[in-house]
Amino acid sequence: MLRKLLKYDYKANMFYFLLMYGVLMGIAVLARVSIAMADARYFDFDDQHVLSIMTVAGSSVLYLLACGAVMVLTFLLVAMRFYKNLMGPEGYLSFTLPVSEGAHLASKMISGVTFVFLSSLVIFASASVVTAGVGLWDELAVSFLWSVFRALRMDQLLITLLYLLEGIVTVVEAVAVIYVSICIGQLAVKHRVLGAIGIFLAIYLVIGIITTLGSVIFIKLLEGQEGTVVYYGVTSAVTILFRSLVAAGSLAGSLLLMKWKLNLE
Amino acid sequence: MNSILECRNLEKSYDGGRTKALKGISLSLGRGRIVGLLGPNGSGKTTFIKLINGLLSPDKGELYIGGYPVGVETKQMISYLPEVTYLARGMKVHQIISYFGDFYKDFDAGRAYEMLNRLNINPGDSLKTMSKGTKEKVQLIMVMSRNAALYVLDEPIGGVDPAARDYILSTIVSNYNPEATILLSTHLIADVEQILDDVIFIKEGTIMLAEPAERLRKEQGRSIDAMFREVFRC
Repeated sequence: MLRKLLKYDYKANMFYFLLMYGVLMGIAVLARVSIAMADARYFDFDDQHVLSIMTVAGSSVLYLLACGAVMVLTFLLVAMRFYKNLMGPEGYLSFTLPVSEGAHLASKMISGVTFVFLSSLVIFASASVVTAGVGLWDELAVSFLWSVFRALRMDQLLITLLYLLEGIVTVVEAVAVIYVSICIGQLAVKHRVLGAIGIFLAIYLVIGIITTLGSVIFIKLLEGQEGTVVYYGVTSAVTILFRSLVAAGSLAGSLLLMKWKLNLE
Repeated sequence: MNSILECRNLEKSYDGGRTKALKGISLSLGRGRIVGLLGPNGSGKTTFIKLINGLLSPDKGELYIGGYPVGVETKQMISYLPEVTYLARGMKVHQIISYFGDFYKDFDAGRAYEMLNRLNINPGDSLKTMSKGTKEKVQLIMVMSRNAALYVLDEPIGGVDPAARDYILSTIVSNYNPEATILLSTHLIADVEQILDDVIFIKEGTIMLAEPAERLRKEQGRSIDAMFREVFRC
């Protein structure tokens, strides 16, 4: 049954995601063309130069905004699918299918996380379109990325793997927190969406406070080790553990609320 | 086990116990019956139906469908028509048929297409282009195209015109398996009275009466509708 639920969860939003990715790629191509044009005229000190810089700046800003919009819309679509399909009128059908609440949650988690990763991949691909092979820009981007990699000690395989895992856990945590916020929000008689947003912000406020306090403690504990593999390794491992606990707690909470405290419109 | 539904001392309240929707309901529904769950608005009909479908959890009491506590097994046995339109607006009718076919082993797609054809509903049409009445008909067709053991229909004729009511009732009667039970909730008694085998009167979360319709009519010498008006007089 999970496979069937997944099929419909992917199908429900696929059109919007493909449209969004198409628009992003279009903007990326536009930015790439303007950069290529400017690159060719880079050392021309005439009126064309100002125009080309403006074009590059404009298309770059538009591209960066589009990347941000893709990420925001991705989370919005994931949240909307969960709310509409389970907590709105469609929930009357979803929850009367011969499927367990756990299967519903698993399907929404898998599809939600997949879409977030897909969006990240598309953004990465679009960035390649914008920068690849544009001479100076290409070199700048590569050297910049490499300096970031080295500063974070990602030249060490273990650290790279930990960061990768941290990225995955952070996405899982974000999607799980969105779902539990919606599950708590639906308990209200009115203003359920507003309630869910409030709960989401409150959860992230608490997470923020805990991580800030944790960072302060860690900086103290790991004093003198800054910039070392141990420093980044321990910090990342603790972050993974903490975010995993938040995700597990959110999923358990969602499951309990779906099972015992469902309050459909 | 001969009954399709058994419940004992079923209680459900809202607002942290302040509003008692069901006050210890005990009931047994036999197989192959058309049962009217009759009561005014706010009497607890929809709460009872939501408990049967696992959309709510009882505070107290026991509820069994076909011998199983409410869960995945019982959802396989129940075909449920809620008051709301629960189909996704963007879906086309043939996609809805595939959806039901994917999840319900007892769904008869041929029967669904046949009923759609009789009503001149194009399977290629999207729900968002349909009127409220047509959407309700599509939903009813999906529900009645299952070979379920228990059909639970919540206000299936509320909010539709008299012609549509006749169609809905004839669809219900002509498309269900005689071995199955239909639990039909409504406050429009006169329209459904003739098809009911049993009636249950529910008032303020309590079962006032649960009897075969024919026996009641004979004993009381009047229609169920007249009895309803008497019991639920404001």
